[in-house]
Amino acid sequence: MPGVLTIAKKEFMDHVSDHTFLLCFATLLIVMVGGALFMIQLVQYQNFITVSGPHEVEEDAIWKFYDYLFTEIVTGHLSSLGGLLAVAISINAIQKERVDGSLRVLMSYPIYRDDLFMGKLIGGALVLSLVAIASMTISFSLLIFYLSIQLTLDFLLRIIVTTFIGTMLLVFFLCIGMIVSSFLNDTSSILLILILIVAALRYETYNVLLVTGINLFSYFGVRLPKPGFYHRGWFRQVWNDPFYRNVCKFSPTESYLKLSESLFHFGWEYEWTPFGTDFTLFSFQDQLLKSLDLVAVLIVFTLAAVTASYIVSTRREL
Amino acid sequence: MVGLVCVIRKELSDAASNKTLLLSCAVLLLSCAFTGIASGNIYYYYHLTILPNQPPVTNIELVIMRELLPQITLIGALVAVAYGFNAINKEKTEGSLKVLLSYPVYRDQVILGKLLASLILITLVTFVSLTVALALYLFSTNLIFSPDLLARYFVFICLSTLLLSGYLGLSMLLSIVFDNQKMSLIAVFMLIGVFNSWVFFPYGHLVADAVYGPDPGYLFNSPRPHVQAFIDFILNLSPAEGLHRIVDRLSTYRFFIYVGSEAVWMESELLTVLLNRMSALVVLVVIPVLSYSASYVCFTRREII
Repeated sequence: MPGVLTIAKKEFMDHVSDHTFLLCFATLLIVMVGGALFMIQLVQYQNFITVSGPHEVEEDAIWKFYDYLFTEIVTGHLSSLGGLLAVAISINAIQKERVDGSLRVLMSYPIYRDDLFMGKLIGGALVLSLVAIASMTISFSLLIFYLSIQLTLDFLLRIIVTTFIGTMLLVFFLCIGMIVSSFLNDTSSILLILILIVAALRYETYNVLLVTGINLFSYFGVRLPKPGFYHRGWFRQVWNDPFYRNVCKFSPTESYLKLSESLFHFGWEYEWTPFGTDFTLFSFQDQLLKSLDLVAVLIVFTLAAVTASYIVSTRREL
Repeated sequence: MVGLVCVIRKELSDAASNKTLLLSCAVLLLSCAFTGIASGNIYYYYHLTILPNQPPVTNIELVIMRELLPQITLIGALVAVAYGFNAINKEKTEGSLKVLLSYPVYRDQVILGKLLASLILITLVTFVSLTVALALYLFSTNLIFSPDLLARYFVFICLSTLLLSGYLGLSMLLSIVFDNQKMSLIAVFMLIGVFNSWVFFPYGHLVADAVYGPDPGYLFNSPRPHVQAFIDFILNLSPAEGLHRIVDRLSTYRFFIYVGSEAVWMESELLTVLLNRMSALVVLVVIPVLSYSASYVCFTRREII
């Protein structure tokens, strides 16, 4: 155990002082804060025109009409740019040390190979947690401050769970990166293939593949149910589409996005009355219980990736 | 001239044997082809939702352009970056650049050859992928495109090529600036990530507020024309956003613009759209030109051995 902790500490320090990591982290922060600012500007504008207009709307609750933006332009970036950051970290963890020769030196010390893997995983996961927590805290602090959102336990739990699940997604990408790094030697090829994997794991890719398959079957007379037109954001009723709901579970990225969207959903628009009604129709518990399948999907994906990278790391020639 | 042609041929044959690049090109082709087929379904969906007594605003026949846009800005960018990110620093690390320069070719011929070869490659890949997508879309919907629709789609292909050329130029520039291939790849992808996000709009507003002072109230479009022009300028600095805005207009029958506080409807003629989105067009042209020029200057002036 002390060996694992020593390696984890070394990994943490290595990552935090790496220029690539700092560049990725800074970019992620800029984009997430930019997303938060966009939402603030949009809601302030809507607040301004609605309050000065003919309808009487509870002034500080208009942000709930735009709650889908929390995912679309704030937390969603954890799955795209955050994924790239996790990939960059995974390259540092295996490939860089292999090229520099420090991995061989490390293996000459009296530590087991699985200790090395666990240390690298824990170190990487700690860095990714730091990234997720810092970026979410800064973005949501801005949102809470400027939109006058009451910091209730309910809202706080939504942020904490989304951050936790986001970190889990990043750990998944970290493990995928470690696996690919173990199989290939060229840094550029590893990075490009990993970026391709990150892009391919989007729901949009699955959707076009399935629609093409279904269309091909229909040419041969086999009629299969087709998916409805899908778009995240306003079109939340897509959740009732069984095709979408089943297929999105094959994509960890989409599962995370959908979970985040669900957790930051406070009620259907048509159920709201603007005259002093409590807008929080969907509590945190309701939303989490409704989306437990997505949580399970993300846990399964992460565990599978951790197990696979453990096996690959302990069995392959480093 | 002979030296330049030799370098172009060498680069193209290198590209043909680069497995990662070929893989990226294949992925782009496949994703465009599948998106072309899937767009057929979306066309039928839109067709069903048209209200009978209301003239539609969106040109649903061109829904394919909207659907292809994310593929171009993500997978297309991957192809451009796969070609450019290690074009120089890899040869520098391996020592082949030193060998190349020992032959009777000028330094500027080397970089010009690389840039031209990359331009040829990206044009070919974009045209083939988007044409295949259109063919499959037309096949699955039984549509016949009029010359106007074909012209719009052709403009879309050209603008996509410009966007990807810009990304390629940026990645080439970074491959000259950074000796580390990983750093240049990550940096260019982060840059593309920023271009693909919506951050230019809020930061544009912040900068405009800082420079000109805030507008009265919280308005999305500034009532002061010069301030709005400034915000639009910052927004258009993202070539991906610029292409998105042009495609948005190209695939409509009519759109409105603000003249003062009045909304004026305009017919979405091809020329009107392009003139209306001139600043986005300019950025799409300027980024490749600037990045290629900067690559040329950096390569010819930097110590490369």
